[in-house]
Amino acid sequence: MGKKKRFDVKSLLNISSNNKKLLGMLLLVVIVLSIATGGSFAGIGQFKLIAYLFPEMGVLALGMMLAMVSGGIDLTVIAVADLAGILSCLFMKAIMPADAAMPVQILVLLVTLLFALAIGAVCGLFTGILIARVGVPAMVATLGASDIILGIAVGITNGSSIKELPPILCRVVNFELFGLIPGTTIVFIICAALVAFLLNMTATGFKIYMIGSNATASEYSGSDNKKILTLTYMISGMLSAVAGLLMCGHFNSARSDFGKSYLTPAILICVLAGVNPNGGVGKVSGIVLAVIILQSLSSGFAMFPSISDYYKNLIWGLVLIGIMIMNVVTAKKGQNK
Amino acid sequence: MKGKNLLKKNEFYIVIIIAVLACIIQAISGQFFTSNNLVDLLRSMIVPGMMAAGLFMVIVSGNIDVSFPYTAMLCMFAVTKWFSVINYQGPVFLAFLIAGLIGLVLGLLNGVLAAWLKLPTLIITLGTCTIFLGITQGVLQSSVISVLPAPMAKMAATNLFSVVNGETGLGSSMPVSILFLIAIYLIVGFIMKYTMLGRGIYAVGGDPVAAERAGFNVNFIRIFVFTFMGVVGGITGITQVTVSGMCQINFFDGYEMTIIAAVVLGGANIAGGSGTVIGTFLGVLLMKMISNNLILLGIPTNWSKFMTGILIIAGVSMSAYKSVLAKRRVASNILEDGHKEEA
Amino acid sequence: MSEILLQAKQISKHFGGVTALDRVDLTIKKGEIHCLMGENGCGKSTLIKIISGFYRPDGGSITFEGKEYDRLSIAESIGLGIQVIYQDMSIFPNLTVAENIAINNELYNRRKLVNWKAVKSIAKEALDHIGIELPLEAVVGELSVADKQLIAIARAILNNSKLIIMDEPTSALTRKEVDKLFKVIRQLQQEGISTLFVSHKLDEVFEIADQFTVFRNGKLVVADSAKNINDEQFVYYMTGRKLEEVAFTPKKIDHDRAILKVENLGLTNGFANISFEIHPGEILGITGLLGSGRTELAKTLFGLYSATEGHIYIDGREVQIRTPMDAIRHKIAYVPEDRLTEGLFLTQSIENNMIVSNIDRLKTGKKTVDYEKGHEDSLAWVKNLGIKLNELKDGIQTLSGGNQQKVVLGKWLETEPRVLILNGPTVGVDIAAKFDIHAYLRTLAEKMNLAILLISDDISEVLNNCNRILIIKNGRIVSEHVNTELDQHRLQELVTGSKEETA
Repeated sequence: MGKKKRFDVKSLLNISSNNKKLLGMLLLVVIVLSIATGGSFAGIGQFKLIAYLFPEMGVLALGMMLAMVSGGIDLTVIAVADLAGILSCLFMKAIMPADAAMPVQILVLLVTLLFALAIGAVCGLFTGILIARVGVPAMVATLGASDIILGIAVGITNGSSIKELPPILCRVVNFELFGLIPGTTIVFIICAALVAFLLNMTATGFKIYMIGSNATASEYSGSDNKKILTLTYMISGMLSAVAGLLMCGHFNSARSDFGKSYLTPAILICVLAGVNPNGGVGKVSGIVLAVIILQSLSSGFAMFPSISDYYKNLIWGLVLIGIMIMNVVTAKKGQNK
Repeated sequence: MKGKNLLKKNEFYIVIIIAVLACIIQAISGQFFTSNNLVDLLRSMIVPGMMAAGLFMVIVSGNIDVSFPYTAMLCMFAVTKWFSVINYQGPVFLAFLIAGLIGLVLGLLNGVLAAWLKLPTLIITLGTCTIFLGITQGVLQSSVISVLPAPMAKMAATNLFSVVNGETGLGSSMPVSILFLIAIYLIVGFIMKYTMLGRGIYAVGGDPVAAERAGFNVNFIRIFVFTFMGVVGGITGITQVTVSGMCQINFFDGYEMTIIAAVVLGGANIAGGSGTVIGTFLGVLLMKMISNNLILLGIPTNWSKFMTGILIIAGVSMSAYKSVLAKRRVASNILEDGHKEEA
Repeated sequence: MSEILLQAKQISKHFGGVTALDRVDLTIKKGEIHCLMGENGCGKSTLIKIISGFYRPDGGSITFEGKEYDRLSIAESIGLGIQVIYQDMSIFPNLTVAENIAINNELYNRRKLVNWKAVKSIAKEALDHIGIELPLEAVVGELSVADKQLIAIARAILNNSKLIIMDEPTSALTRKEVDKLFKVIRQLQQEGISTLFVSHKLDEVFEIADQFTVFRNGKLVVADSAKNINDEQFVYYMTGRKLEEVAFTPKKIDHDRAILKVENLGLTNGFANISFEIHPGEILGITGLLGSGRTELAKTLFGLYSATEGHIYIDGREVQIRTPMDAIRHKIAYVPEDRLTEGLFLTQSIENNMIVSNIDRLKTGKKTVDYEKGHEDSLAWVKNLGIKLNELKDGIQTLSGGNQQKVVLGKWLETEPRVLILNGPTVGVDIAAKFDIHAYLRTLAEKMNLAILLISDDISEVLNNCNRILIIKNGRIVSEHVNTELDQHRLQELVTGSKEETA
């Protein structure tokens, strides 16, 4: 045990070059925005806002990252989040007794969480089987599966929103630990920690990296690629379901098109975090930093009401392309040395 | 040998599926083989059909583009808005030309990024499509334009011919833009089959390294397919306006998926290198037959997304699983040679 | 005959820190059949890629028909009449035979449009020219390796070629097909076309070449007329050593106790009626041409294919091997044929490449992986196998081919196998590492009592390291030999099918 600790500390101190780049970028964003807003950006209230908004995107990005590390991509994250949100809200409304006491309410919420996780796992199992066993390329499989999953969501709700949720969900999501750390942030931290544990400490995590590096060599090395890949998409589905619940708490309702605008940001977070779209490379720490950077940026823009919300899309796209160009240029420079 | 070839061809099976489906719809509703339904079907194929032709090239070259619906959207709003503002009265042709040029620039951007960055084109075009959406919503502040500039409104009102169903009294008209659909398929078909460029697209999709060694300009080919897709996207944007008589931000919602699915259903390999333009056309036809006739089949519209998803997954699963099975077997017969020598 | 067609002078090429070519020269005369020789990884392929314009040389110049070039582009090279048939043949699996043959010609003539009639007639003419019949409309992906090779040759002789470069064209061909190929090459010679023939098979050089050039470790060793040379000198030039490997003779083999026994094993389209057994401490060689079923057999024993008939026994008990996981459970390890695509994780560290097959055994009680132990195990194998590296955390790509192969070997030895299957273990490995690996395999057999199955088309490798040799042809084992009763020529003949047998 002692041995292992030493090993961990060593790896913690050894910050990867990509994370150094990200830390620098974060510092730059905070400084520039603080100056631009005359100091109000750096205030404590602003930090709370940052922490409040980023978790849903972050949790989605964690699922996306797992798929990308395994050499694929998971475009179902949005659909799963929406469907899990809708079904869980219906479920919660159905089983929540009227005038339930607080402990009962919390119990119901926990059961709902389990229900959402199950929905996510089933969706992930479906896509996972399509990819790992039927052999459909991840991109097409997840595009098609997201039509099916979202199609169920639309079919059930007729496209309208589910309102009047039990207040407990909203309360938990908007809860603030010590009046400072929002509940959503805690959820994100828990998810990030679990994914980090999976990737860094378990054999399954190791195998996900290996499949992403070279699926053939992985099979030839005796790993059960089909099982690992299916599991990867199941975990991604469960993370998406958690994000779906967070969204419902955030908006205090459920709808089949809530997650729509989250897809590009989720991929953007992964690319910014240094996850290699070709597989095999990516760290949770990178995701955490990338989420903080993007949310700072977005919160910063929110402080300039003259900039319309629509420009956000434009900016996300530009940042995504910009980051890819930067990565390629720096990689080429490295080669020329 | 000829008959065997026919059985090997993917198009053959799609035609059979289409025929069977047509008979089923006819049997259930009695409304399939009616003049207005057929015209409606063709009419609804114009826009997705044009896009599919462009995307077909991109997919054969081993790439993917999800930005084209946004290209179409941007071009549609940019040109329509501009023409409304200047109260344009000249020939409608100019609208298509300008939209095509804007599309060309956007497609060129995709192509150059794809050739330069050599990253998965799904992610590149996902990035650019968000930019295009941002420009449309942010810069152009577009959502709906209900009054079109005169030349476009005039084209929208012009039809090649109209039919009326004697039984139901329902009518349907064939827009002029059906000619564009035909033209684009002829052009794409010609490029892919009869030009070295087209063969280069197949070659790059089959084996990019071998293509480079053979002397194809691989980067040019990549840039070309994306640029062509951009031009088609731009023209399609204006076509959509003249078909529907208005501009709406949600015209092309979910098109990226539907069109990719149509091309893949039409037999093109999503990994590149194979597929035919006729197959693509049939893929779009099949797709539209199902989505147009869901109601005739008794499926509520709210479930149409679900149905298309099922269709896509079923279509791609079959071809994917075939190659998975093939991988488990030894492809060419090693043993056979031995018999020949013994004999 | 004496007119010089191509002269490459002082060509150098580096990849990262590795020198692939160090100021080498090559002179080819008009109408000459020139053999470029050397072990794998000696720089032959790099020079070809420079002549064909695929790589840019770091130094030196190329003179073609009297005109000097610092570098050639692909289009220039083709324009000059240089045609390369790469080892992987660079054909398009998704296109038809006719198109594959005619496509370069059409490109060379800067055609914009495709005339399908012309394509077919060009292809037919080219095939007739070399006396081959193939269905023009067939999709190439469905044809055999030998047919693909012939298509590549038919393609190369179009466009008024002046120099045809063939990179190891015979590796997949039977003796009959090699004869056919040589006939074609001589016919081209009559027409004044030069051929640069790249090979590492000695007898082929004696048979076909006028001149030869030998490279070793990226340097020019010798260039001379093929008449002035004999076997022994050749081996010395190629390897830099006298033939000093002593044939392997295991001390004692317990013939009653077979670790792995295979009975009438068959795989649809792959092989049939394969029976053999292998004992602890033994190195059994299986050799045959590319496409003879040797790789399919290896993959089946490792669970990558499922045998369609026959039985596999481990320690006398019948087992089912349907996946690599099954194979590993039965203590079988497999060093695959293509190191880069099947063996290595190129974006990962050396350490991750070492522990990948053993990861499940590194789990501690709580299912977490004990990476510290993996690190120590890896260090031990680095020492045992003499892998040259800076740090285990470095990328696997920083290693040379030989050291990479040792990593793959180490990865499997970490799983403590009892049967080790190696498929072409020294392809693309430098001479020193090759000898290391051979020596280590012998140690494994003798000291650790491993049963080793060595599959290779490297005749001397099989002959020197295996005490028994099986020859596989068209998916069937045609004969079994003890190494001491064979020499290189005899074994080569057995593998390709000697002239008397096929005549």
